[in-house]
Amino acid sequence: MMGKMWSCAGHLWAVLVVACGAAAAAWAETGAQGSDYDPARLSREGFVPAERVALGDQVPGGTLMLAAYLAGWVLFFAYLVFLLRAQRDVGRELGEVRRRMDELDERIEEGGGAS
Amino acid sequence: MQAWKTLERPAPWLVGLAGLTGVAVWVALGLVFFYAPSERTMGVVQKIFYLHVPSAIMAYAGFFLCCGASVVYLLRPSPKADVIARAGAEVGVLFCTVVLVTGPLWARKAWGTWWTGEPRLLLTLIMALIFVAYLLVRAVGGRREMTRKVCAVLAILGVADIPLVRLSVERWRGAHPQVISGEGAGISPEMQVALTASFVAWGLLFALFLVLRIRLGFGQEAVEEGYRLVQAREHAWEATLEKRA
Repeated sequence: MMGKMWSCAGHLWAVLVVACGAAAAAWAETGAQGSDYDPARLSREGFVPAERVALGDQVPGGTLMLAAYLAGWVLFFAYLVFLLRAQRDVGRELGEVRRRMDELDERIEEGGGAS
Repeated sequence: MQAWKTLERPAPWLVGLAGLTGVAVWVALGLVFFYAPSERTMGVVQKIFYLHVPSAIMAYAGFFLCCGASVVYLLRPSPKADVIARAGAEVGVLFCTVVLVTGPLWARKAWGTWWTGEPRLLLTLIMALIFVAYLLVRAVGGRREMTRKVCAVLAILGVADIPLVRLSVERWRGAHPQVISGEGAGISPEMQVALTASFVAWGLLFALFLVLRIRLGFGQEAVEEGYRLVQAREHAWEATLEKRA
């Protein structure tokens, strides 16, 4: 049971690592393309002071900040849930061990004790 | 069976730690969003700083703890040292993941790109991958002695990356500003208060996760030990019955 759980957790990590790698590669790519630096546009429009740029044209700092805090808290809560569930499973398994131990003790007592 | 009782009812101090962590986190978030001012050039996105930097320090703390316990395990193998090493690695990876997720979100606004080939970023990514590999080996290799020893060596190698991160900052600087440890003006007193509160909150969160993970590790060890004990007693009882027959 525990081995299976850890194996599942291992696979989850593997998927996470691959996903993060792919996302980082994609981000690096889109980051380069999505950057505000566009020579053609600059030649066309010239240098525009930041104050005159409409709010919608700017990189949304507030959204990025919220995304960062949300991602952080999702990770923390996910880990907390994982810990509490694993703890509950371990508690159950310890109960099972105790039940088997009591059962064995009863059998030994009924059989006249082991020497 | 001591572990059974321990897991059944959480100790009062653990409940206290959880409560204190909750309060500290809310206070820190309140200070970050309502007290600390926004930075002049980066604006509101700079508030990621209060999550990003303490998370990085907690990740280092987790990895250092893992390394220390691994050294102890290699010198004097014991399940206790092994459980602590694994807990340190797991919690360290959690906080390092937060660093690697929040960093690009901040960089997109501040640098205009999600990721750059800066040595500090690459070395941090490598460190995270080393400890993810550590956890993968632990998950796949089970509870064998050899797995535990190989992982202990891996943890020491992983921590050797931390001085390289520091060296990369001093040697190549990169795009990361040195506002805390640098010789510049540093941060404003209001920002300093919010940062200190964040360090306290994230430190308590780190301690809470670490304690819960260590308790879980001891519980898992107790389950293994319990099953071994039951099996040994069953074999002994069967042998007695056979002898009597």
